[in-house]
Amino acid sequence: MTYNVLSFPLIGRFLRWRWGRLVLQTALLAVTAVLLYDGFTGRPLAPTNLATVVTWVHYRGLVMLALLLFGNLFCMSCPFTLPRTLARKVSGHGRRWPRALRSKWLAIGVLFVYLWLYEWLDLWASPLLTAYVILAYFVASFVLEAIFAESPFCKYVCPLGTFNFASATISPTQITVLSPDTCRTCPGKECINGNGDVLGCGTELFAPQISSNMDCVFCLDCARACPYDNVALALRNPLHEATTPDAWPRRWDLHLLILVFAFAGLSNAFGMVPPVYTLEAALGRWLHTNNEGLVLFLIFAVLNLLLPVGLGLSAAWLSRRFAGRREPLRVALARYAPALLPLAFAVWFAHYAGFHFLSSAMTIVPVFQNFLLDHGLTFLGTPDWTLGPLLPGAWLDPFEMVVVLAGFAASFYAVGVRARRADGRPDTLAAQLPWLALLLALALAAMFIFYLPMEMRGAGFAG
Amino acid sequence: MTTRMKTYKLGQITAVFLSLFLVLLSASACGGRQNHPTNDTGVTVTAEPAATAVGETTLVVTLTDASGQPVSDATVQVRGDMTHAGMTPVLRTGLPTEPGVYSVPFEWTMAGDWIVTVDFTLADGRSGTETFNFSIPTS
Repeated sequence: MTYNVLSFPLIGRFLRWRWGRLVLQTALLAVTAVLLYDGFTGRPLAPTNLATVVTWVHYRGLVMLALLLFGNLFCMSCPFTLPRTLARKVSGHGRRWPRALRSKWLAIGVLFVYLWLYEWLDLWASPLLTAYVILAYFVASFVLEAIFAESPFCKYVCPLGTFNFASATISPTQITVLSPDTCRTCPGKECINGNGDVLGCGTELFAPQISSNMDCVFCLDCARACPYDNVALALRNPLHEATTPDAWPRRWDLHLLILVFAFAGLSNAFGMVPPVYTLEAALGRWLHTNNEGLVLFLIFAVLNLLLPVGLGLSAAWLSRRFAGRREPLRVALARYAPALLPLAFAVWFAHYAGFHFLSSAMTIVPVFQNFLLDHGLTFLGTPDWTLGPLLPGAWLDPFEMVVVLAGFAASFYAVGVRARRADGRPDTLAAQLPWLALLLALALAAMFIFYLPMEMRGAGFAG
Repeated sequence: MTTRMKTYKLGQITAVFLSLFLVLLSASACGGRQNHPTNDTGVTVTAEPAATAVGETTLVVTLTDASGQPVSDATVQVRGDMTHAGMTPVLRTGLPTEPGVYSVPFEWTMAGDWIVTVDFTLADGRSGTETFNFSIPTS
């Protein structure tokens, strides 16, 4: 371990402070309350409503920046878990989450449904629907935490959590311990069990065994509960998980989640470019339907489920064959799938932090001024609606290309490292080729999509 | 006893959140904010774009009173928004070209769904707002 963020002046002290997370959550809860209020009562025009502007422009852009530069800050500050924490305190430990659901399968399903609903219902265009989505997070988190232990909402259900967990695997910080020996002889295991004042890890991760940011909500309760100050938030190589073969258990669900995450980044951007309309129209004619929900469901089922699973398993099968290995396909998949993480993150980053945030970040100023004027508050003046981009429009395409190429290069490197660290003997170049081909195809598809003119989808579907 | 106490607290917390939700809904239902476009002037407004393709165009706005007579000497402001959050709006002022007709130099900056808001102020000081939806196809 190089540096422990928890030992830094000020920031380290704040993060370790018992109420540190609560302060962050309360601040975000206040923001969320304003979003709910404006979403339910404000003008139903997305570009002028805080609910839609903050949720679909600023939240997504800032989350990507935080994940890249620090870690899973949103889950750390998540306001949805405030009532959850209350629910947990009053309901005790609750019953165990069903064994059959203790995997990422449900999370993959919820993420898929969420992304489909986002496209079908044009959530970005409706302050009211956006407010209902926010409310649904509160209700779901509260209900599940009141019934079950193990923070099932964060770990197994929440699509934001799933997205952040997958993205945080390339973040530069991770929970670890200063001395594993201290943990071995620790009688109370307070980091996971709690100590009476502080709850233990909500997602039941045991600090000395953490080798990944997957499932870590960065609550830092482990650090606060540890009686030996033995838990650290360490700076690490952001490619650690992408290049370390044993960072994750070799589970189908985890590795297929990464594939879905990678392909969903492309399909989410694809939903904004002209070819998706052509495809929708053609599919509608072929199926004799003008039901956009059905057509989009089929498109995204192919792009977000069938393609990642089909191409991922094909790459794993070919790689295993070229390597001459006798091993389960699951093991072959786990050898290289995490190498896709940097490129997958880069595609999401280019879209959310690049296109949407950099082109629109300053719109928050006139929208907030307008919100105040609606309530007769004039101290911030009249809105200047010309405010918008942080980056000139002509720079967006090059920025997105650079981000995608950087992600591709990092993933390319990760494949090579994983090949050298393969079980028993290094993999040959031939064994890497299927995964390199998949990476190249994803990167080219991303660049093709980002070069197309973006379009705001909505009522254009006629079947 | 402990279980009853837990149930009681759970009920309290649930009530707090339900109350918050109801307050929000009530605020919405009671019209606590005057932010929705209205037009109670009796003036009929139309807005017709010369072209519905990405690029510059002219929007022709007409104002007629209840008897169908053109309304002159009004000031006309037009705002074009895309349905997506984060888009910078197109803001223009209408120029009178003939009685009741106002020409607005406009630009569809992007393909997709647009909401055009026409704000007008009559010579007697009364004002109104109307909105129009347009779908601009990819060129």
